[in-house]
Amino acid sequence: MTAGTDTVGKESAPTGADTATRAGSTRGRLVLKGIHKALGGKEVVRGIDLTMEPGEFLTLLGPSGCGKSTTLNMVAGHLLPDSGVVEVDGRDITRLPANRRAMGMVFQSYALFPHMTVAENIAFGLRMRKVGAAQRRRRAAEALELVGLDGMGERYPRQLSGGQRQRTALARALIVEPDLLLLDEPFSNLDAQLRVRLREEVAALQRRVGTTTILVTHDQDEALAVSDRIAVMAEGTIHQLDVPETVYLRPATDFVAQFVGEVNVLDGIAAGAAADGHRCRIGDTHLVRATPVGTAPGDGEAVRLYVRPEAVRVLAVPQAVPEKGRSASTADRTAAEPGLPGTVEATRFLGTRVRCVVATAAGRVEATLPFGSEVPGLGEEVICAWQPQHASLTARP
Amino acid sequence: MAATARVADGPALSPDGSAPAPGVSRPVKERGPWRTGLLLASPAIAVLALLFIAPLFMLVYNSFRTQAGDPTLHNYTRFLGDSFYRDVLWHTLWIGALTTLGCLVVGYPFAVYLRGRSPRARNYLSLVLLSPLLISMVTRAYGWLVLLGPKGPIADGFHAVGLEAPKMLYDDTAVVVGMVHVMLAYMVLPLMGSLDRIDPALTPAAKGLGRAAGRVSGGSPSRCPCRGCSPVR
Repeated sequence: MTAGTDTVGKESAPTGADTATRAGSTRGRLVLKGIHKALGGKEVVRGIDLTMEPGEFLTLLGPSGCGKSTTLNMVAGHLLPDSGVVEVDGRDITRLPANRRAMGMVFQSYALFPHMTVAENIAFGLRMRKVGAAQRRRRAAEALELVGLDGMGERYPRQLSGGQRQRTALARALIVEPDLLLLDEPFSNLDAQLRVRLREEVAALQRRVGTTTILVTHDQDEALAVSDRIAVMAEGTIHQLDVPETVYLRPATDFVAQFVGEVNVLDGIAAGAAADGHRCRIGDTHLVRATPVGTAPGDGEAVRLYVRPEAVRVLAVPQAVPEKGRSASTADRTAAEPGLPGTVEATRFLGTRVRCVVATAAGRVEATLPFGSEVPGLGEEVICAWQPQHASLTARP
Repeated sequence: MAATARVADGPALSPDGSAPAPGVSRPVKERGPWRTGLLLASPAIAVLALLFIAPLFMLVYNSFRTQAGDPTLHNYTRFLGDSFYRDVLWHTLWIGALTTLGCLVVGYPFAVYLRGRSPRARNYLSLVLLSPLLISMVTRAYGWLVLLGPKGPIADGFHAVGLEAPKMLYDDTAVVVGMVHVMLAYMVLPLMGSLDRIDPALTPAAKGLGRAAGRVSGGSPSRCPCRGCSPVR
């Protein structure tokens, strides 16, 4: 292992076999500094700063029009930034044309050359680099094997399935041993099952070859599943750049919380720090706890809570200790943390789990009940509770 | 049960002649999209067959007959044996070839240009492209007579810089110019259709793999002409 790959994050903890190949990934360190770009009079990228370590798998995640593809195209050299610097391994390539950069790109449409066979497509980058025919054939065969398309070299793209085209595009991008692998929504044209399978394959392949990779997607599941780090983008800026766990559990902004996964948003008033989290008053009477993101809010400040549906537990109202939520003794009780009372409004069976909607003083709270748990009846009085570390608290925007 | 299965197979009703089982309705005869299309096109086909195809066949038929109606090859031997007719034939083909070439040279860049424009701009530019077809042939010809004539604006341009204007009318060049003017739309429209089917990502894909912009051919030149108007060769 090199120093560079150590920083990649826990997801990439490599097996022995990985270490051998990934040790090669000392190149492909990408730095973006203050990138701005306007298209058609509208500023679509507004100050992107980003550093990627060699071998890292980073995802640019955001809704359409957030500037993620534009950013990728500036890395690829298809667009010139209005201002800012693109550096690879310390070299400024901002003004270097695409054909003189070493980027392997996979397009949403795959962009396979329809008049060339699969093998010719894959070897195209080598042909442009004036690699001899014999070596081209050998390396194309290797690349085909790498993506599991052995023996398909003589076919034409139109004779391939979506998944096979996708693999061909990947082999074509990787054969030139690029500094960076750029994936522009590569899975969005595939059906749901194939999409999941291929993204796992791509992630595994990336770990094997160790090429620094940027994936552009609007699919948060995809981003969470494959990335070392995720940059959540909206309106041309990065809202949060962190490992998937942190992005999901500790969203930095309102946008991140709502875009990545489902979330309950509750507005309340900060009510002082407690031993295991920050207290927060919802409505007039209910106290809940959460963990502040960043600096803790002062008492009486308007705050916003984010709780994932799967973190919410729906408890029966305890008959023995009714409405004792605000007493000082609450903090001592570990079994029943304070919660938000409400009425079950709807339950929906979703196969692996049950979704339960509870009407509370702070609006609807959605809870995902794990498989096999007892489902409360409609109209039943319940308490929505969660562990303080599963709810994050920010100042209300 | 057996009856149900059979009905599903095809339009045949209960083979034993008994009434079909209750609940099994008589299957609707399905008309394929091909048949529906033919039905919709039949009025147009009828008009064309009567007024265009039939006369053509009559022409071919009559060409093998004398005035009296006897079969003959005389018309053809006379046509091919006479050097005047042969010259006219070659001249026609020659003008046609030049016009095609002219349309290609003018039309291909225009089609490539149109490909990148907004739908609105494309509509306006297509209208400009089609405008010669909306003007009567006589008007168009007189227009060119004025433009290319010895006192026309082009000749004036030559005179203005002290040159003698070349003769631009009543020769092959003038004919080809006029023909290109009219026929350009027939070149550009199909080219636009083909170019639109090319994935716009192919160009950046090729460039990203090392193809320099504007390079004509990277490998064997033999592949370029027959493989359509692909931006990647």
